[in-house]
Amino acid sequence: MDGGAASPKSKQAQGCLMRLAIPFLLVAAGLLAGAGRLAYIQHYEGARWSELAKEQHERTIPIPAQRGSILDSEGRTLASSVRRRSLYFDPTMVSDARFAAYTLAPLIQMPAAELETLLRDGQQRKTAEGKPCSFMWIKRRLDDAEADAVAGVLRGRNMRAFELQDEVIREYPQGRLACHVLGFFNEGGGAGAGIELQFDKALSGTDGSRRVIIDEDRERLAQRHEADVAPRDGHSVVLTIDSHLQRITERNLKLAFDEHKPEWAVAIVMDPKTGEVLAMASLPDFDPAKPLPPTETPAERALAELALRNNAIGANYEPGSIFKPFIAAPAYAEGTTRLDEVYEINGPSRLFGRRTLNDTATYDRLTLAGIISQSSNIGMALLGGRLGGERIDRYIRSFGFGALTNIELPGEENGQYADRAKWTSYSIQSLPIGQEISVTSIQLLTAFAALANDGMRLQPRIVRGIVGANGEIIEDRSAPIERGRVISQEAARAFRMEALVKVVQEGTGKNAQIPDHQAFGKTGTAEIAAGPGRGYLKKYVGSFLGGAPAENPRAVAMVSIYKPSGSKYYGGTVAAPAVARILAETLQYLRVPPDAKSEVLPIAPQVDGPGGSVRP
Amino acid sequence: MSRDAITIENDDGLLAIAGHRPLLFDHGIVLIVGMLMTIGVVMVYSAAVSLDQPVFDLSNWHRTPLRQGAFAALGLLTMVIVAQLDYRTLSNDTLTGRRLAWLVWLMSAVLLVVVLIPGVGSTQLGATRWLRVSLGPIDASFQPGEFAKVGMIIWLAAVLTRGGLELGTWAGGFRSISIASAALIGLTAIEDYGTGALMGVVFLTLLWQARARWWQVLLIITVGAVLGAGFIYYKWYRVQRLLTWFDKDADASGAAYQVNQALMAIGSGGWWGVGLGAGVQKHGYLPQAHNDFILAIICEELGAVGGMFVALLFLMLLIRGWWIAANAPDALGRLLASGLTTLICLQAAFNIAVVTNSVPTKGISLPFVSAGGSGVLFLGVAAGLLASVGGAALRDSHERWLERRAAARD
Repeated sequence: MDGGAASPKSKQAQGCLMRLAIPFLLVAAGLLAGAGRLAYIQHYEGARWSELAKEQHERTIPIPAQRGSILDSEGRTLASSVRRRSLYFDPTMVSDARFAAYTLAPLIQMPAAELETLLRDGQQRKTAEGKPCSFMWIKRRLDDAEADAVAGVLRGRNMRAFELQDEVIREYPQGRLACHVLGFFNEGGGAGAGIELQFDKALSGTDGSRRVIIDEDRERLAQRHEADVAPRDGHSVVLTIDSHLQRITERNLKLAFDEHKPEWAVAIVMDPKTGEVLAMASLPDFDPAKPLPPTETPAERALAELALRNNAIGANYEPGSIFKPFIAAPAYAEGTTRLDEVYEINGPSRLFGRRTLNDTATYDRLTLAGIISQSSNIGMALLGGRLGGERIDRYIRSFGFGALTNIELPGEENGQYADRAKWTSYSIQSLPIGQEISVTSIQLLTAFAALANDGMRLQPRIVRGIVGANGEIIEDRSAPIERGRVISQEAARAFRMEALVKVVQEGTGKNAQIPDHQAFGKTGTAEIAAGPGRGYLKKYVGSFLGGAPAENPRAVAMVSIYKPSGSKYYGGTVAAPAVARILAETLQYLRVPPDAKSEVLPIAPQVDGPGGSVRP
Repeated sequence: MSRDAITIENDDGLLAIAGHRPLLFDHGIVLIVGMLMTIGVVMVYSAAVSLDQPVFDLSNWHRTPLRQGAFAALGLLTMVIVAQLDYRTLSNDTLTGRRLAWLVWLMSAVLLVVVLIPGVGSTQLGATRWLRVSLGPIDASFQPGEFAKVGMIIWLAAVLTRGGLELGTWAGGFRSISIASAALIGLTAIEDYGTGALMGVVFLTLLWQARARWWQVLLIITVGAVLGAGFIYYKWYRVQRLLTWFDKDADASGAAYQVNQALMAIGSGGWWGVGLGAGVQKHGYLPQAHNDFILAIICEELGAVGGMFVALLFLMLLIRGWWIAANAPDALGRLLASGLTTLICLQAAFNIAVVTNSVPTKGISLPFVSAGGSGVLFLGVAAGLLASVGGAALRDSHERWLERRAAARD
């Protein structure tokens, strides 16, 4: 300071200034150091601290994508996800339980006294750690009107303890209909079985997210909109299933199921010209909304789990006589025999090597068509010998047995069919009568549909396409997929019209006759093997493959009744009537015009005869 | 040196704005302190606002962040009134001055003792350093330490400039003054170690200014260091704070939590801040956000630049205080100015050092800026006194300038 020099007491002032300078300079250094330290932190550590701060301030909150629907071929909803609001409360925040109970109760159709008790119970409740419970449901999945009314009340000052939470739930508006096709899905648990599982990725969509800034109590302060990722809602899957036909099929299968009380039963309806599965039913069934209800005993639990299995694709069994057309038709197509060629049967039993085959009735001579319609084991064994192992093997493979049909459902079995190298000495006689092989119902119907489709095998399909949330087509899967010609068009047609029609007209499948249309089909009654090389169980699977109209088949259907517990078990008795009803109602629904009168052959008088049996 | 002379020279003189009257106080001090208080009011408001509390409720002003505005206004008023007074009234050479100085000492001592009486002092944040005062709607807490640190400077400046004081000898005044000061410092340090340490440093500064001998200064430093170490050991949580400082990454949620949160606030503010009011750290993350750690919130919302601006204001205050002390017309003014400036600016430097994790955590507030009624009020008295000395220094300096000009004309 300039004043000092001129002052009369300058020497003393000089000393004062010296004394002043030291503490002032020290404090100034302290302040400058503080400012410098601020800059240092900002420059060298700012990013790190800022990152840590961000970590504690920001949370990513998922915005769940809406799961797509499952629709039937006519666009009817079979499964869909809906948002529902659920009411919960924080017992620690309830100040006046009575007031709250009497305010809320009328809005959610609940007795006020009951709600008050619930609120008071919540206040008493302790968590596992002994802390007061701070979350309790009051009522879940309110309908929209209830939820709106509750939301209005919750804005009030005394209702802070109560809150609504969105819950997405999977609804199956048609109940158990097509449950095995649909499978099931629950939020949290994920998809299980069926289309829900197979197309889970397409159905789920992609969750979105939003970044929010929270305070130390995890309360939301603000939202970073620029960081929002919009959810992409899931696609919808359109099935080939027609829910009306499905209902018809399920109703008729249920009748047979209740009458014969089997272990399980299956019915499938297919359009032979496209390979589209129009209906697929399996019993016992389940409720897709509650696939595994709480059970008490392990046995009940096992039963409930068994009910989840789609027996149409997931159950293997030895087919028995129902398999006969898949050997006989190629034999005819190959020219090794004619439909009217007469075979010397000389029944009722004959020795093949060291093995005796029996027919259920005594036939002296049968044409090829007769062998099929009467389901003669001896005749088929003769035919097998004529066709030879190499061709038998080729045609079994060519009809699609021993391999997955690749229908769009999870859990498909491919059956058991041994390589030719592992055949036994009996295989040439066993395979033609449906032994030494196990198949699934969908394989049988697929092969049968090839006969109905004039020899061309198509892949069975249950999904027609995938559409986006806004109705745009994501994937068109409606084109038939050809899996190869098995036999010639003429051979297939002739075999169907001569042999398979005869089964229904005068053979083992007379119960499958339907009014107005000429049906064709094949019966099968197979004794169930106890296991490899362990003989048979005296338990049967009765099944029937059928189609109509024979001239131009519009639908083929299959019913299998596994281990019926009554006295009846022949396929022609337990399965054929169900197929007949299903086909009749299906053709009616599809508006297939009745056959011209001349084409409908007179219905033969009912003869009480056994169905096709393959008992060795 | 007549007043007429100033009036004549006002056409090109320093005091043109003052018209014919001499300047009564130093405007620079009032301006800087006013800016700091304004920043304080705005930032305390920003930091204390939460979603649960009404944001701007005048009818409830004494319980919302608005009360800081009222206290700041009161502090500003106090400062301006005190600045009008003549600090020379405190001179120990008059009986009134002597009585006044010792009254201030006595009041400080009594208040410091009273707060220690169980049941009288109230405990906040683990320290019993508050006296509760209810004035109508205002339920204020009052810290005797805030009073004592200003009171000690007033008393000390007065007694150290008493005529006939032989500071250089034991019996000539050094002993009695040291004991009386140590009493105040010790009583403050019991509950408020930070303020006690601050007072110790200020005491040392004033002794130094009063031409104490080197051995006296060294003695005070030694005794102070020993006692300080004893105090730290005595109170375990201070050890904890020290340990926290030495082991920074030990436990982010434990003792180091507060400092880490302050650094996160500084880091997320960047150079220019997230914007006034937009900080997140104040929402429960940073404890004492409106109080001792207000600087962290300033840095978050106004950036490191904002924080450095606050430091710059204190530096300006320091320079102005330096100028006042250097130009004070007498020793009393010089000691008052240097003591008060040191107190304010050292406390600020201390606070900045705490917030930037440069020294162990201390409960020490940022002068004029941090929330708190008594702090703003007594610091207002301090700033007013400083401005009053500044006024005298200005007059003195102006007179000398006039003398020199007159000499040059002759």
